Amino acid sequence: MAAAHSDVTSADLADRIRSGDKAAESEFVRRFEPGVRAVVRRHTRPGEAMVDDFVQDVLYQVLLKLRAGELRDAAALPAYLRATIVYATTAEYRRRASHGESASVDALDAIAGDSNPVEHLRARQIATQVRSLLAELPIARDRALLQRFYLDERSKDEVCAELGIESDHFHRVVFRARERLRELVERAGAQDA
Amino acid sequence: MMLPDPGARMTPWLEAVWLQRYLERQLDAEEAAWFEAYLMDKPELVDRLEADSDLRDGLAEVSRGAAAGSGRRVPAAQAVAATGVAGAEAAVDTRAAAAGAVASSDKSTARAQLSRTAPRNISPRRHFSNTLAWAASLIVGVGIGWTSQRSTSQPDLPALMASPTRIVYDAVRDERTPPRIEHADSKSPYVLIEVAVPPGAEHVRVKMENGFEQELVPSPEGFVSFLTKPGEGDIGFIEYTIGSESRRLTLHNITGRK
Repeated sequence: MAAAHSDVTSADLADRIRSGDKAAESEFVRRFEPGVRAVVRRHTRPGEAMVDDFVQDVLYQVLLKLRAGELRDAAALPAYLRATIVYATTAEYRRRASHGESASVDALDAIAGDSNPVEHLRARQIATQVRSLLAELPIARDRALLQRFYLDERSKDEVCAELGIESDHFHRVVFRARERLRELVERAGAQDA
Repeated sequence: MMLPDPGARMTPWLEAVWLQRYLERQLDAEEAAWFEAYLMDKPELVDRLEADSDLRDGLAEVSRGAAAGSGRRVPAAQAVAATGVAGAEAAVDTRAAAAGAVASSDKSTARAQLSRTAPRNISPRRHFSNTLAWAASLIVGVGIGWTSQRSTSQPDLPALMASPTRIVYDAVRDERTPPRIEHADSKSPYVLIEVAVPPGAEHVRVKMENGFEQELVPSPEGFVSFLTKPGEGDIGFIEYTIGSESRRLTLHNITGRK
């Protein structure tokens, strides 16, 4: 488990893609798509509807660079992917900011909402699971901790100071919530399967 | 500052320390960028990152749902600020009603709000020096390992503890099967945990909710065991693989108290 993908280095993968190996391209997507998605989500707002688009754009742009052999240091492929994510998400939000004043709310809703019903359904499911999770947190302060940390984006130290809690309690609540949610999501996935 | 080579794999406990600091937004911009590149092809780290993002997205959706359920038309960011904990609690209290109550008008407003908002800044608000942060992460990590090493050798603890609470879980049976608890009234702060794992179980790890985790080696009889000093209501997890399948067992009530 600890040596995931260690058999093929990023440099090997880049070399094979440059030489026209289609299997290497598939391997590239299979290997990096989950990580790219995870990092894209960290650089976008909660519930962002364009996550899939960002992921595809980033992988496609980097794949083109690899095919053309334009990546000088192939070993830095993960860092290059990460930089491409930052560029893509920043550019999109800047574009929205420059057009946002004139774009109608309904048009944005049509673009962001109807184009990805699967993502909408997933967001609803996760929201339902989070409600279930919150219902299992008997202490209001625990709910306050999650809300301030995740939604208000306060730092851990700030949250602890504001709520008068020890950092151990912070770790415990956040860890438990994260693991419990993962269990709920996995269980829901198993039931759907 | 020299960050580790992202191509070289860190030890699991050091990865856990980095991940924890990343999720708590305690890495500076350079460190966060390095760690995001590092985790890119590490499925275990990606899973944990996704769980954290799911939690964030779910809480945001719940808050929006609560705002919609209250009949107010509130942009996403304002909804979060305005409803706060009360919103989350309302969502819990009115779970059934709120489940489908994300009105389309509020979604539109929320998206419009998002479209005018800059992307999240991964950088933490606190900017201590890179060196200090790196040193701190090492101290935390070393501290975890050191604590685990010295847990039974603290000078204020007796050299021998008779009949500590012993809890036996069985990963082979259904998770809802209650564990067997012996000496539940023991005065020892430590609890001996034993878990029966299925034949062929590999990569067995215990994870405690305080972030500590440790690899465990099954005995010839098929048990893994560890000694822990749990807090009230603590939960642990046993994770292992059988073939290509990953499994997990939740260890409820590891204090053993009734």
